[in-house]
Amino acid sequence: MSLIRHNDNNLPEASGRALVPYQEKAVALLKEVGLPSRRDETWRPSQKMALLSEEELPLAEKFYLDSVQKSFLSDFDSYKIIFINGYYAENLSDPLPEGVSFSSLAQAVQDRDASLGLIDGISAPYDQGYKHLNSVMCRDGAILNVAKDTIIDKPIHLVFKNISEKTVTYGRVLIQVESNAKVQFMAEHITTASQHENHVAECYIGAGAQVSYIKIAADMKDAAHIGSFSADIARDATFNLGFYGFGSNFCRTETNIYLSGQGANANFGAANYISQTDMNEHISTFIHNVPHCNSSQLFQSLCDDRGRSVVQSKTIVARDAQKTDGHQMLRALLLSDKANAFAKPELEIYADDVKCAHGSAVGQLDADAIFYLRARSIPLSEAKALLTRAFMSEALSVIDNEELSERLIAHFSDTLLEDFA
Amino acid sequence: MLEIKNLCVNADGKDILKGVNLTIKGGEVHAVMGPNGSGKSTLSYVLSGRDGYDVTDGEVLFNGEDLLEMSPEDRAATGVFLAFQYPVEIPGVPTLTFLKAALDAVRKKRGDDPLDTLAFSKLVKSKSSELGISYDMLKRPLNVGFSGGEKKRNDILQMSLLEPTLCILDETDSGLDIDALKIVSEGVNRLRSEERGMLIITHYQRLLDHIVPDIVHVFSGGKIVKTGGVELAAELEKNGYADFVSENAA
Repeated sequence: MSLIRHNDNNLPEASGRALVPYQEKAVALLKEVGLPSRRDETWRPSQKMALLSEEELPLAEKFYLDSVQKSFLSDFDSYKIIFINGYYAENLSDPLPEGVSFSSLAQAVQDRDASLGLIDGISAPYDQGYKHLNSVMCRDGAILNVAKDTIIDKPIHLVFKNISEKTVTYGRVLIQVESNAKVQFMAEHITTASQHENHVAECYIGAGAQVSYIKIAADMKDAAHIGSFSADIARDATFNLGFYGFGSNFCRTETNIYLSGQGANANFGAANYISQTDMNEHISTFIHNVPHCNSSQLFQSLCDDRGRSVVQSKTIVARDAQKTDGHQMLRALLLSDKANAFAKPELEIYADDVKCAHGSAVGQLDADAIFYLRARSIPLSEAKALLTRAFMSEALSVIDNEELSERLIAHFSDTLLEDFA
Repeated sequence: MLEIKNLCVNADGKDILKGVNLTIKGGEVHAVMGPNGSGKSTLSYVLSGRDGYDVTDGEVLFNGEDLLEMSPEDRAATGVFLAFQYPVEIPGVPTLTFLKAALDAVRKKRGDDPLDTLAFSKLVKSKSSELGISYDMLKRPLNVGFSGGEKKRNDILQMSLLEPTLCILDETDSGLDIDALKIVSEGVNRLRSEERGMLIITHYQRLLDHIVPDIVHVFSGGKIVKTGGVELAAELEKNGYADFVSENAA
């Protein structure tokens, strides 16, 4: 057993920050010096050498390398805010443009920042245990404010990198976008270890603002991710939400969107590739509280091997929310006999003048389409990748950034091609 | 080039092809005519490798190689091209993406590198303008919302890009008005060459007025019952298939 616990939640809060500049040097020194043994004079009288593990040395190097490792979006032209194991890594992060203010949650707590009062303020009736657990355990995160009328030229890119084995990380995001601002957020979740990530994001969208939040959980093979996302959308604002997953052992997202101001629009697109014995769950509730709001929810699940998709979506239309336009579509494509999809779209309508629809479709790849592609020399694996990519791409329409869309679809294709080969 | 010897095929427990013999040499255009349900389309699907057909006897050699052993994509890459009776609509896959993937695969088989984007778009533009296909149309999802004529022209565009050595045209005239038929036929005629064989499967003679075959076969009851020159097509148009159907039934 090791004396050193690789759980950053046990380290002082500040240790997650500003690690990197001297880490590289420390890794080299550690390799040169090595860990102590009985040959070291000062350790010779020690009775507890058996508790020290040689594993610590490669683990330390791995920790460092993982923390600086590139992802398929590392070179994306964006303002990056990076978190390692839930802690803000200032030295890896970019300066932010004018009109955007950022504080780490740890700093905000220290400063007694007033915006902390907004935490857990949106979706209380629907919040589940894991969200409360996050509120109790979370020590760091992002507090972001975009000032009114600000237009941000490129996405604000939150990177949550979880790199330590067998730990739980608690990430937190609180975003306030003031009226008429225009901004895109990307939230990239990367887990390189067998890990459990519990993540909560809350967004307050001001009147007339145009905001997108695109969450990407890529290449998280051994990880479990439980996410809670909530947004409150004010008058005439438009909010686009996208969740894209390329596989994690278990991924569940609970989404609660409140359309609180007249003329508000919310569009949700989710595409997930679920293979091996993975499981992906979306529990999504859109609440129309006022008249003249539009919402759409589209889920595209691609299940292979023994992968299982669970989607439970709901649109609630309050008595006063006349002229609501709300749509839900849940689609699943099963690529193997053992793959499984559960879909439950629901409507709960108390108003009498609304346009709401929900649908669900579960199917397989079209054999005629596969043959057509193969009859044009395209190998079976590539034909399947082309068709599945087409299936997933529909849910990418909420992304108002062409390059991000293309990058995602290309990464998707590469992953699918590799798996189908 | 293509040798079909005593080909017998069963589908869903029913014998569809019952001993087809056919040899096509480079440069030859063969027409196979026959009534509905005679097995003409089955022949095209078996040659191109579609699932669901069980070859119970016979063999098919393509340039001396056993065609039936190859996967559909290998057949296509080796030079067998099927122009579909009903080209499939594929939502979400832009036509250009599909064309690039197909051309890259064929070039790879021939040992050539993929074309770069510029060379590819130049090639596609020149080939598509010959067929009256706008480049903008090729940005749309494959065959989705295309008219019958546009789908067939798109198939012929693929044929001209992939430069196969054996072209099988399955009821290419179905769903075409006279102008579209002319454009498609001209496209096919441009591809006639000494190295390329063609097998035209059709119900009516009208296509053969535009693509004049060297040899005409009458197909009935799952096999070829008569072979002749282009005059046989005219005879069929005049007298119908009744003689051959009853002849075969007897």
